[in-house]
Amino acid sequence: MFRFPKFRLAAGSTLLLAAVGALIAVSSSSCDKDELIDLLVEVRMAPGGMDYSPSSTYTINGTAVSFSTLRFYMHDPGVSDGTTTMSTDAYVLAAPSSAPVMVGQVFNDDYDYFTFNLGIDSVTNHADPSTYVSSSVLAPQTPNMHWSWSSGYIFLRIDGMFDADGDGTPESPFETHLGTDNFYTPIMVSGNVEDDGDHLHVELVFDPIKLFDGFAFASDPSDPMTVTTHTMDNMPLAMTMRGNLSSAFSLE
Amino acid sequence: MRHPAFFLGLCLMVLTACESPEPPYSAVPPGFPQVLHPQDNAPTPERVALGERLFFDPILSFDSTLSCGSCHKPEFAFADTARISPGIHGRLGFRNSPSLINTAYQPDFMLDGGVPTLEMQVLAPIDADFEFDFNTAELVERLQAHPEYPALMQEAYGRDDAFALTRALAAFQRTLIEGGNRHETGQLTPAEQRGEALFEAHCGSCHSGFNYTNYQFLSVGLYTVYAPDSGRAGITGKPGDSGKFRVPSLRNVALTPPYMHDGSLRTLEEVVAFFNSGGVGHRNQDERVKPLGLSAEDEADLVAFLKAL
Repeated sequence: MFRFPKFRLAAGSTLLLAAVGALIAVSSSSCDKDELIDLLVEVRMAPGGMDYSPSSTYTINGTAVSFSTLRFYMHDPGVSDGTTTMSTDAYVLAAPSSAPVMVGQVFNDDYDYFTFNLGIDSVTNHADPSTYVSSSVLAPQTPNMHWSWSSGYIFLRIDGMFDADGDGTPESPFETHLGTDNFYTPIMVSGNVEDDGDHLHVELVFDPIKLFDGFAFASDPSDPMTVTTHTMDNMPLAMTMRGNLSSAFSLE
Repeated sequence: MRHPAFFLGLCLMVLTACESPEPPYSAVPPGFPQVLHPQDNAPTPERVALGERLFFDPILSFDSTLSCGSCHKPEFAFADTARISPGIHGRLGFRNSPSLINTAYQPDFMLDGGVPTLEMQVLAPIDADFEFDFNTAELVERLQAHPEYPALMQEAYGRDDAFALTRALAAFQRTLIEGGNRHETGQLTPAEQRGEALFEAHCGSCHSGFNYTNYQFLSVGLYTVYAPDSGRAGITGKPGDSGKFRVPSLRNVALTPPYMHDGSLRTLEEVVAFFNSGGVGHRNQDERVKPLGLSAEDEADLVAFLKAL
């Protein structure tokens, strides 16, 4: 989905309005910086900094794991200079091997941050996914990114296997699905975002292993609550992952 | 075979439709409010017929063995007599199948109220691994490859995707309107009349209105601990909602054993005895659920009345 860009103020004060005005004034003095340019977002899944493959084995806190599903929703991707954020109101479903997505247009400038909200805003979160055309990222997906029993999107989905018997091979399933309105989380990733000539190209790197910092996989896979969360049924694990969200993202 | 009263309701609707210029599917039994249809899903014969066909078609389940009608059987007021209706591969969930009669009037859906519209409720059994264990996007692809459904969906909705699927099933379910039981037509026996008085005194504040429910979420104190199904709390996350489930309609209640959210009480006699006992004292138990002091004759009269609904 794409809508025209909008300015979002970091704080709603007249001082900031003045700052925005000044920023625009400065920008307009440049030949390029008052022009709009496409913002292109590309997401790379990189468990432990390595390339992702569903058949590869990675290590989380000493436990061998594999990932079968790595997906998350981004809303409102944008860029920021630290004071003013220019966002696009787009929705992006990040998945392995996704093509770069043109999420909207921003002023042609250099920025210090890529910003987005992980998840879906509360109004859209509880809307009917079947109203969207099949090509929309908000339409029903495979694998499923919607909780039909509670009418809300799965904001982040990580499924896979972990090694419960200590033989080094993942054999026990785990599921971590984050969602519900309280988990709609603003993310600000620092890094230089520059015009490459035709567009601003953001290469966002997601390391799912960092989400599990401070969490130990259980040695008893028969207790699924120790390795699985659908948010409401295992809030402690969900909160741990949410607390680690910011550290899981970086810019290429 | 469908419940006779369901056919009576449909016949009343058809007759009324023939006698007046009202839009189709607008007739309701005496004393019932009008059904409010969503703007994007006004009922038409094509939409309702498509929804009815889909409702009884096992194409909706992953292994094509189960349809909506497998667990919502017309002869049981679109409920089931199994404690827990098995999903594909015999998998069991944790709730008893509710009746779909008059579901058009529900303010929200599922026994915990987690789904806001009937159209969205359609997605729940498709996704649940203990029901159809399918995926809506993949189901749509299956329907689009069917020799007849794409044309039927296009004719009904101008598209053949998840929108048409959810709308058609909801449109059909909104036609399952029924009224005119012996309570409403004043044909109660003396025992049923005594039961009616007891009902009004002890049950009527929750099982109120034309559909015998106030649609609230209450704990009746069936258990001291509700796990793994905490009811409304599973949606809101609030401990104060643990053990709360929607007050069910009692229309056709004689046709829909077993009872309670998990089908744990087999007969109406067991249900009445439970409420006469006053519940187990769950921390969120509604204060109206308390020992009633009913005699055996009272209980029998109350059961007789319930069977007239």
